[in-house]
Amino acid sequence: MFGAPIIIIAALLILVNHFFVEYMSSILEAEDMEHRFQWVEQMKTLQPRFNEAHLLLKPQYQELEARSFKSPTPAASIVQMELIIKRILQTLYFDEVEVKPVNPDRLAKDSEGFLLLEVSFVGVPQQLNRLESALAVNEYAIRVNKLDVVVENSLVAGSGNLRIKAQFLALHLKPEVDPLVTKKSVSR
Amino acid sequence: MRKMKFYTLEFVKNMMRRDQHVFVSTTTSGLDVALYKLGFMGWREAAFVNVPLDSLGDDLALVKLGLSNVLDGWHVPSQTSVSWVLPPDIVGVVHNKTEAKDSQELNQIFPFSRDDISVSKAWNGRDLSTSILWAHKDWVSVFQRTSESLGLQCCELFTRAQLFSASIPHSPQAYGVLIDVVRGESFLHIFNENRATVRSKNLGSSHAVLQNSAFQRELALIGDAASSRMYCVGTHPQDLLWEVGQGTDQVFSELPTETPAHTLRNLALSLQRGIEVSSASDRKAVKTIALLSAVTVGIVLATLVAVLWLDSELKTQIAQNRLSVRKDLAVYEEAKALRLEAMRFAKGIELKNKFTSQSESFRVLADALGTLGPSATLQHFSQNGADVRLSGVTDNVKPTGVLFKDSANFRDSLENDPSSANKAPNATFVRHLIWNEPVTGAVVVSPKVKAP
Repeated sequence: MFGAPIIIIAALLILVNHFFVEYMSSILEAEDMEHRFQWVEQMKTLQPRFNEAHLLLKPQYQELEARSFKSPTPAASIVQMELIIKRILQTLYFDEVEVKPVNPDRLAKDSEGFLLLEVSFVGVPQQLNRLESALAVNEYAIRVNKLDVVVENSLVAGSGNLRIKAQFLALHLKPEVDPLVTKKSVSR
Repeated sequence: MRKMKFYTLEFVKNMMRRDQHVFVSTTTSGLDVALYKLGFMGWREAAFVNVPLDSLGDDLALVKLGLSNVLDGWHVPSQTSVSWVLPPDIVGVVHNKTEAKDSQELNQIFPFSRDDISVSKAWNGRDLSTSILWAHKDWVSVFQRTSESLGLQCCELFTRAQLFSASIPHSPQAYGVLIDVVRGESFLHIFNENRATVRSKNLGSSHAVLQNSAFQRELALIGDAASSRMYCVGTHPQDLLWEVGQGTDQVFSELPTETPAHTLRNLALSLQRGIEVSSASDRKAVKTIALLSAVTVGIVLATLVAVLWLDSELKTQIAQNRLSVRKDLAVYEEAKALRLEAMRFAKGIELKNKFTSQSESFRVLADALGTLGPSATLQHFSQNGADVRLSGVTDNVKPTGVLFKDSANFRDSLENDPSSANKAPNATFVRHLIWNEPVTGAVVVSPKVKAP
């Protein structure tokens, strides 16, 4: 007779415990969901600003993108750049073209950034002007940011040979990822 | 609350301390009081005393007085259990002829309504047995009160017939009729073949027992009186026969004479059950426990309901949030993609700005040549960032120190550069200049859109 209330209370306590555990998990889930909700709300309110920034930056970027090397890795880009520079120098009849990548370990990094090539070649002063204009009209934006010119055979006036060592600079960008492919992070 | 706690504690304490038991057998003429103690080898009789109550009449105060004198001498602790063995006019016996355990028919054999009486249960505590003890609740409360005023707890009421049910010889197919005479009072007890009490009757204190109409009626009720065996205790068979005279063929056999102490002990240590009486503190404890249980159940139920309610609230909130998140998922994804792309654009533009801020070597060279003029011949030109070193030959009469004085884009460091001189040994001028890049319209990148 005295056992009955104890059994009933124990059973109720077990029940309470069961539901309490459920409640605790609900609290965690609710927190999680609330967080998610806040995040989505924030993104929603910021969406016009993102759009604005996107619209503002897009033309500039597209312009830039058109004149940059685009390949998945910098190493691939630099090969491309090397080919193009060699081709330009050869069309302009420069001799002794020698290409050496600068900072080859930086190329290993899978990041966007500058591509640097150190090229040494030999030519005459008139060719140098043509190189400048060839670079200016080139499909890719390539600049020379370091230049070392030594005049050889300077005793013969006017026909000095130039031994040139120049550092060529270009931009490497990763190819654009289709925004539709971006992983959907808000599931459930 | 404090009171309740006290009662509960007291109840638990009493449960632990039930190692003594008082049995009181009363008739109108006297009391047999025995004290039993629980020892290592089980229950044993610790004391027995007979208290004659000469002028008792109907006065229970005398019973109380006599009992309290005895108990004072024994130093019985308070709240010791006491069982009463009472004459048949207080605790009656009925024979349950019906097989039913609790029927309307059964209710009719009691002289009072079932609500007004307390009845005994069978030894397993559930069913009613063949012989049912009953006592009016008024009597029960009288003995409860008497016990409590003596500092004892009344726990069970027995009827006098139960004292002898063990000593009646087993006789198949025959009732046993017992004339029980104690100090001038006569009782009639009738047992069935299984020694269960069927009837029990007070025959009063008249000496002519067998002429008593009650006795005759009782004998007539059992029907087959002739085949029943007759016993007597406390009196001599000859005395009874003398009383009846010669006109009867009844034979009385005397039960083996035993001391009242022995008889009482037989009952006390037997498995026989009386009418169970719950003591006041027991009832209080039961009430307390019931109340506590109810309160606990209430609290637990309230908690349960609260938890369930809160849980359901939370679940609704979760569902709402989920729904709204799902609804806004497309906008969210778009915003996310826009943000990622805008950030990529910003990074690219930043890179481009860095790119355009790099000095353009050809411009530096052109500027240097322009500054030098046609009269000079450059033999060595080296540019690394803003550092410009050059050397060459000039036929200009101007001192070399003022060559770059008027240049907008160059600042002359005015120091001789031996490294440049080495490369052009014939040079007439060697300069180390600092290139001041004219600021071209740099693209202003809008502040980076930060993630929230």
